[in-house]
Amino acid sequence: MPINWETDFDKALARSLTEDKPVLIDFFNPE
Amino acid sequence: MDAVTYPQDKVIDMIHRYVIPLRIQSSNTKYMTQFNVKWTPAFVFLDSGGAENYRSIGFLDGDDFIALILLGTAVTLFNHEDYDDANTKLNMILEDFGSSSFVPEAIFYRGVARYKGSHKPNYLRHAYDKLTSEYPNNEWAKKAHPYRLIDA
Repeated sequence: MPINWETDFDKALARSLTEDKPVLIDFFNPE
Repeated sequence: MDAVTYPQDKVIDMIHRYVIPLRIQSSNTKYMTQFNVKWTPAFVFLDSGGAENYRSIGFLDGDDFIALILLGTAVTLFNHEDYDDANTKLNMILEDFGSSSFVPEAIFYRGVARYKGSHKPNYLRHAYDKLTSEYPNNEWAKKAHPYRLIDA
């Protein structure tokens, strides 16, 4: 199973609150 | 990261177990600016209020990335005064990822978390002793230098 990345900042924060986990942002350059 | 680290099953498991993973491209100037990110890969840990609690820059292999997940989570817990859970995560780094480059920092934070949770200053001295004996030239041994004055 691949990593289930969020791509929406606000949705990630909402999940952080409900799931009681920190958000880990991966800032990446796809090139 | 996509070629080496993220395909590993143990990395995927740890990500889903401990954090909400969010990917933001470097072309996204809104968030690159908001978090002052100038180079990638950059890994930033946020609490549920959106406040930054920890960051790391540059490529990490599987074990170091897992250690980062545990350390970033532990520091976030520490910052929210959840010292017992922070201590648990830091112990996992020391016990399961002892060759990680994040170990000295984990030793430092474990000592501080144990002190904050118990008010027993000898935990700080223990961190100093462990750092100076095992990682004498590491920056975290130098940061623990004042704790040499505490009774063991």
